[in-house]
Amino acid sequence: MSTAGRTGAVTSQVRFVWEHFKFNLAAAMEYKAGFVSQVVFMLLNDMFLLFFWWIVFRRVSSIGGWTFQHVIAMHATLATSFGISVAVFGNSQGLPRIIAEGQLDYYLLLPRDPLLHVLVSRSDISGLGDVAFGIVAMALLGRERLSSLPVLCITALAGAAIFTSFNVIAGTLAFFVGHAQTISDQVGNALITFSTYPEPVFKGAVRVLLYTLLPAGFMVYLPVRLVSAFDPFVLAAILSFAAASIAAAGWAFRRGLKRYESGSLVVVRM
Amino acid sequence: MGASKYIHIGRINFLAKTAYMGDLLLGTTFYTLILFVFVQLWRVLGGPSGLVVEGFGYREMVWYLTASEAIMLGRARIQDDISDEVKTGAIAYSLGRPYHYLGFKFACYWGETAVRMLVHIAVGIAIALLAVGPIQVTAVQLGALAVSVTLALILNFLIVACISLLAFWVEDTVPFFWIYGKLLFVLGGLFAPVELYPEALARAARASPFNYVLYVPARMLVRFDAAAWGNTIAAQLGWIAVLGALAVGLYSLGVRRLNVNGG
Amino acid sequence: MTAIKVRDLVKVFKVAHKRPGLAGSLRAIVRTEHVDVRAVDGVTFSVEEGETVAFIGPNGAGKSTTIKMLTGILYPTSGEATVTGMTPWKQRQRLSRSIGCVFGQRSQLWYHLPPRDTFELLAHVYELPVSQWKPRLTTLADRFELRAFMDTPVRKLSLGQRMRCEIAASLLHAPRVLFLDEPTVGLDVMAKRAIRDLVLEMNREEGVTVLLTSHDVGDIEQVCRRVMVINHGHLVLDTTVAALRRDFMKSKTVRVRLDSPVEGILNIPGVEVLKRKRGNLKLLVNTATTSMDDVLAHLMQLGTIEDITIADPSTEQIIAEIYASGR
Repeated sequence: MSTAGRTGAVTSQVRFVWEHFKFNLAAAMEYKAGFVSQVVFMLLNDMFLLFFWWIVFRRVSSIGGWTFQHVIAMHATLATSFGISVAVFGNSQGLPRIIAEGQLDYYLLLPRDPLLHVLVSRSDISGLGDVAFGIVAMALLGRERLSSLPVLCITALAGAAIFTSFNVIAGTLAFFVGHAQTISDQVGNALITFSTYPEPVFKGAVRVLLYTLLPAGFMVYLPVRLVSAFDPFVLAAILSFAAASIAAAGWAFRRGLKRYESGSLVVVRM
Repeated sequence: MGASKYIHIGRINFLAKTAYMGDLLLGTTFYTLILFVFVQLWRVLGGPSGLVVEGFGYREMVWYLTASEAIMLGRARIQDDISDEVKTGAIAYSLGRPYHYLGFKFACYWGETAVRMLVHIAVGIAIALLAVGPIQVTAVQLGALAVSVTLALILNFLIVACISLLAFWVEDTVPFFWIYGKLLFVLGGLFAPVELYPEALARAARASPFNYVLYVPARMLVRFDAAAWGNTIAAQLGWIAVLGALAVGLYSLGVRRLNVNGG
Repeated sequence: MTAIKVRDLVKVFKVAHKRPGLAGSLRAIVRTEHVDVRAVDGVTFSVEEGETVAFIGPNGAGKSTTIKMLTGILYPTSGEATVTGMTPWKQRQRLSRSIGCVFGQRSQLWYHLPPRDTFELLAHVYELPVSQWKPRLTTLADRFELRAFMDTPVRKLSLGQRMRCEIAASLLHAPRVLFLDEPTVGLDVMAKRAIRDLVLEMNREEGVTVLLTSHDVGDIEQVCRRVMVINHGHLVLDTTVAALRRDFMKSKTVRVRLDSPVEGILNIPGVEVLKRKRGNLKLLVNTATTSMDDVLAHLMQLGTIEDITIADPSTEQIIAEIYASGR
């Protein structure tokens, strides 16, 4: 494909995502009170997350080298990544159910990439509250960290890609085993949980896990490192991992699609 | 006596939940994970960082969290059902049935909570023993603790019922549950005993009902105070009376509203 | 030109066998036992451009599975198929631009938004230029009479209005082949009729090839000229609707209520009395030997007709007839 052709294709995909996001927003706006309360309460909800660390850092100055600033940056990155993922690619966590119930049919009948299409067809509006919190938290980092704001934005986007891809890969299990929602919820929760504690808490094999199968390392730890000291190699590592995650998710989904049974999978009880 | 039907409802729910033991056990992986992360965290906080909470060593801290998280995750989730039944008007059908709606929900809640608590207590004890070893408790203390945990779970039911019944007046109660979760986290002392808090905040926490859902029973496990036990239980009962009255009041108001609007 | 070509199409589902209880669930995690179910078992046919074809059969006969393979949703186990010259499971995205699909039970409309929004979104999804889809939407809105509720949220529309929108939505990109799966299910008589007329009109005016599945014999008779019957994954009959009517739809059921009780023995040639209770009669009329006019004439002699319904045989009855005829 020529460069011009590829650029055109990317522009068209971005437009496609944007159109769907707008539609989801319009549908959610049909219930205005619900819309506002979801966003505002999620923002408040996230603020509480900092509370525990505020208590802890009143008594200790650092956790293995991490200060309260690091923890704020961690929560800012996580909330923004998570928020973008659920608000724009709102079906990523529900993929196992969608696959098992045969709801992919609709997307397979349309001339678009079915994975991207299914992901953008739902929006969890509370994610906008998470993004709002992320912005507030970044502001809390203070003026001296203002220079790291662009980096935080880029890494948050990469984090959203990693988180979404992670959910997709876990969700494609449903193509092979049928009922996979519980297990994919559990691994999703595990990734989020690890992403809410300072990296130095984890050692050895767990640390390896966090840079491979449960990529909290690339989602939040490395971005936090960038806030304290910018390093182009670390940024490149994050972006490469994000790109690899997207590719892996696309590959896993295409592999699974060949085994898609369109809701015809029935478990016979003997 | 009228109580037997509620016991029966609870028993049926208990049995129904045990049928999904596979999912339930898979669900405890999150509990295991949280405890694992906390063991790691306090190993760092208690050791190199030198954080000491008055009266709580590293071992007590882990047992405290095992208890508070067991209650947090062992609670049955009834809010979705109640909110849905209020919103769709299905609650009106219960008016014609020979039981009180809240009594029925309470029985369902306990049926499921009993299974969940048993599983979480078993898993929690295993993990805490493996991670930090046993703490000193007597059989009498465990009995006294069981009373407090039971009251804590009743209190939780009443708070959840009150929030769910708000569905009579607001479109979506889900956001309120996020906030309840976080109030348990902060004022309830989910992750740390209030001894760690600054003075004013600790006072506020102790004055709130949330403290009696998690902190009070969890602390009873690691630092049993025989002299204060009676007062603690009395306070739990007091909150149960207040929130029970509130729940019944909200229910009656809501149902009246239902009648006026015709469902 | 051939619109659809299918040769030896087979789809085998591996169905998991699970033993009951917790032990069974745990066992299933370690090792799942499978049983093969041949949902479609060697189907061969072709459809010319502009044809209207009904695809009928009992539940689980394999009609949905066949349609899902022809639209690219499912990969077949073996066999070949082309739709407008493309292999569905290999060229799914390209194919989707030349086919339209309506699955009666699954809506493509956005529930909380007006139909107009869904149409616009679909225009984006298909990447249709404004100069193309705007006039197309105007034409469809006129023809399907959607104007009155174009801006009303879908959740407030009647089922018939929704189905008109569904079909219009599937035609927005001017497909060459239209797949309809149970398009009239749940609709009242008037709405059914409107849908049938519209599908037929699109076939006549734009030459769209129509392949439809239905349980309703009315859909088949009024829309299609050719019918294929599938059962247990095999094609058991491929003929014209006229021949189907002649050979296998020899009877109609008549329910009638007369103002006065019927007395004595009823003796109309070619008519079997299935049930009688005072003035209420249920009759099975052999339409090959007896015309409906004769039956009505006889009935009017018995008294004044207060109410009457005439029903076609169900698809199940037709299939039973086909098997009875030894095909």
